[in-house]
Amino acid sequence: MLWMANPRLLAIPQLGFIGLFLYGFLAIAWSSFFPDGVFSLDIYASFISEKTYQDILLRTIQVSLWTSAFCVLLGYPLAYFLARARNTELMLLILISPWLVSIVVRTFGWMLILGNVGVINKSILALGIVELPVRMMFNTTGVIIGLVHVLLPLMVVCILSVLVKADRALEEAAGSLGATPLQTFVRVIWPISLPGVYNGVLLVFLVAMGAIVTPILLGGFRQTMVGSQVFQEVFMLFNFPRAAAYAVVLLIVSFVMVIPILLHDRHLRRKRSS
Amino acid sequence: MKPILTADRVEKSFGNLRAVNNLSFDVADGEFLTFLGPSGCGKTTMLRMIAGFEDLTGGRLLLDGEDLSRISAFRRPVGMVFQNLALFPHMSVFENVAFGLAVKRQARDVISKRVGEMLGLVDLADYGARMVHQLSGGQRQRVALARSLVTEPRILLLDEPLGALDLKLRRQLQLELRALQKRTGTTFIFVTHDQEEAMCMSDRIAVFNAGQIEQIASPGDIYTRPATAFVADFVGESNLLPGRVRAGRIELDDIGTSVPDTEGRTEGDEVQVAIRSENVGLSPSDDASASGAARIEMLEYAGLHSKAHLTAARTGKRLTAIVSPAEAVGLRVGQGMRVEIKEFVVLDR
Amino acid sequence: MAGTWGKMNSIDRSMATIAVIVLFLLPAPLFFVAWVSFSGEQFLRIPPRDYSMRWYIEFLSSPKWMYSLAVSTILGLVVAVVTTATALFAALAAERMRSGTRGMLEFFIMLPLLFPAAAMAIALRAVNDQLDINATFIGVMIAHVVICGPFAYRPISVNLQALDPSTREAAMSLGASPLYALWRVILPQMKPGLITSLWFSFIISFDEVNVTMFLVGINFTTLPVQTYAHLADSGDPIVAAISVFLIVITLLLVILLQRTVGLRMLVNSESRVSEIQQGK
Repeated sequence: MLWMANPRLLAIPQLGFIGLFLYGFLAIAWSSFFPDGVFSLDIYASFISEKTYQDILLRTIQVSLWTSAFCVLLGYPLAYFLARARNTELMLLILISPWLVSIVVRTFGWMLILGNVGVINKSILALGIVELPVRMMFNTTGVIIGLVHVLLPLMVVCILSVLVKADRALEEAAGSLGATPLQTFVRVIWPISLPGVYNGVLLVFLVAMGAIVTPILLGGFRQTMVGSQVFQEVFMLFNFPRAAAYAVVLLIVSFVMVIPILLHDRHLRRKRSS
Repeated sequence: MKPILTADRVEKSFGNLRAVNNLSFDVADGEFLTFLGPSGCGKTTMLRMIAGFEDLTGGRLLLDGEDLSRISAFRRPVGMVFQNLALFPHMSVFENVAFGLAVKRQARDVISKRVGEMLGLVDLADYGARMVHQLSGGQRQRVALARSLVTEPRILLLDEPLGALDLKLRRQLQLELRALQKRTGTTFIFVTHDQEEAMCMSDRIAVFNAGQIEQIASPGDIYTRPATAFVADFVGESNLLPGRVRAGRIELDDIGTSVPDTEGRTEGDEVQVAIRSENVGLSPSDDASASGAARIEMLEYAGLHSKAHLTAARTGKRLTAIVSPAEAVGLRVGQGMRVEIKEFVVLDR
Repeated sequence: MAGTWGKMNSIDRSMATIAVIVLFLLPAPLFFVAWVSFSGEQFLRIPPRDYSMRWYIEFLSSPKWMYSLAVSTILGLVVAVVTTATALFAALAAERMRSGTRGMLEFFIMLPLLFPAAAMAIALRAVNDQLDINATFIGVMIAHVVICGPFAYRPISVNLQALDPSTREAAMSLGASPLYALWRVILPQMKPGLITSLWFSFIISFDEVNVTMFLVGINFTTLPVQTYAHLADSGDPIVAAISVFLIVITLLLVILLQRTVGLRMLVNSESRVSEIQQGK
């Protein structure tokens, strides 16, 4: 059997799938440089010159940054709490179940809550707090709320997997040396959990940058993010090369923006192991 | 009698590191041979090459005259007991022991019978249904042994299997292993860094150092006639003194005495003389600076193995002498003693 | 839990407060979905004025919805098996590699995780177009295997690394060929990782929308994508009924995993495999 002689060959199927995917990506990148078969940088030029395209990209980055920030703010306490909970499995159950339900369902739920005739608006109108419904959908606010809800468990899992490994004795040692709970947190717990936070921010940011369904359902097509724009280009405008160009730009921008995180994470790791 | 295993100029290198360097030795059928040496000396590497888990980078290994290089590990009639035992956690005791027979697709009743016998032999007759994690350290040890022996290998290799056990259990298992080996008649090759263990169990000991075998001999020979300074020092406690051949005697400058040269060595040769601590005799001397004297620096009271640590008056060289409890009472720190050598070994290397 | 409130320090308490609030908010949208699903009206309205089970009945009796449900289920099963198998092979290969090569292999395997969905969607659509398999089972299957790959690889790789490597050598010293050792000694010890991988791949495939919506066609679609399309086009509550159905299925699957293997493997990067094997 061939694989017994060289077990490394076993990786071929997996690499095959990845290879197909990379091939697809190169194909679309190619098409973005060769729309209609002729080499032209027109599409990319229009990205730089025309404001709409810049807006889309900026909006996407803004939304993704806000989403990451809120995910950390809300997700960290949850991870902290879960790391200390006694009934871990039950807690994980509550955390993971919503995470795995389809994005369509969850986003739909938010549509019911945030819409002009949704739960929130109906309540505050009935209570007389406002006179006109507050617009929470079909704008970036709605998208951020939806994305935070969708990606929060991801952030929690990232932070949790680091916190769970942390030695509780470190906190006790800090306490025995006179540190207040706040000091213990700032000087001991937070720095230890930082790799998990970085990991979480990295993943949440990347997913938010590329999100499609949530921006479409909660953001509409007037103020698009790259994801919803790509959808529009393919299914409504039938402009495949431009969609491809968006994808390429998105990829480059995403990777560039996560480099500082990766570098800092590596720097932290090196500091710790030396 | 033909040896069961022959190592012929065996070599193993990892990149620039020469782990095993040009070893040649024979293993007799049915003997209990121990590879003894400190960590990193190559003994485990040599063992793993016999098992087939490492390839040789030079030389040959012959089992019953056949070159092993063409036979992959799982086809060799060589069993192995691992340092951490490597029992299969998802199988019961019975299934673990039966594994080697199940692989060969033996009939179920044959397996039942053989496993039953083997478990009885290691005193675990009623433990067949237990899972591995339910067993104590000593019991797991015996399962590992039973598992390897049930396939009736030509050679059983044991890689420091007793390391994780406490002292009392280890002593007990050492004796059991020895008895088991005699009863089954299987050739055992045992690896350890514990020289007491090696001494009490083996027919022969191979002392390893930095990829070389310094001596292969019976425990008695190793102890009383160490071939090199390393062996003398590693096994038991020795004092090593430099000596010079002069007029049929070997002069030991440190303590100012000399011992007879029975080998007729060349005049002026420099040699090393190894003297076991129990062969250093002490008698009181009035003057600490008198020749043949050393001064007591520290006394260690440990029952039968009480020791006196001394420094030689002339050169400051450290010496250790074993003293009887009765003697020890009469000694004082700072006392000057005369040193008398009862037995010694001359090392030419 | 009440007794422990007193024992927590101020930081613990602030964290716990936020945590509990968030924990309650997480399933909140799903409750509204469930509420609306029992609406008896023709249009989506919250709160509903009339209640009935009509939309559930309509969903379960509709051929078009049942078809897409069948597609999603079968697709999920196939993807789970294929992804787990390829991930297992890759993990076995990775184990034998030097750390440099291994790092590169694992980087490539994890690559789909780092790609934004928008880029993945277009790339996989391009693959399907080039091979002329768009809007087919195979086309979507390949895409899902790519997407699920990293999620399947992780638990398997972690499980494999936690194994005692000398059990394989022990098996060989007893005469087992490498294949026999794999089958009888290694794989049985990998049940937690394999089960987690299968399960994870199934769920991700079953619920996948972002990329799949680019890869379906008139004759072939999955349940979530069809649900999305229906949501975007018309506004009737059947979407809510389908959603509840999906929620219940997901919940059942999570409980199933929790009972068999436990949810820890999803969180820990070092698994407590030995605990699981001892039947905890």
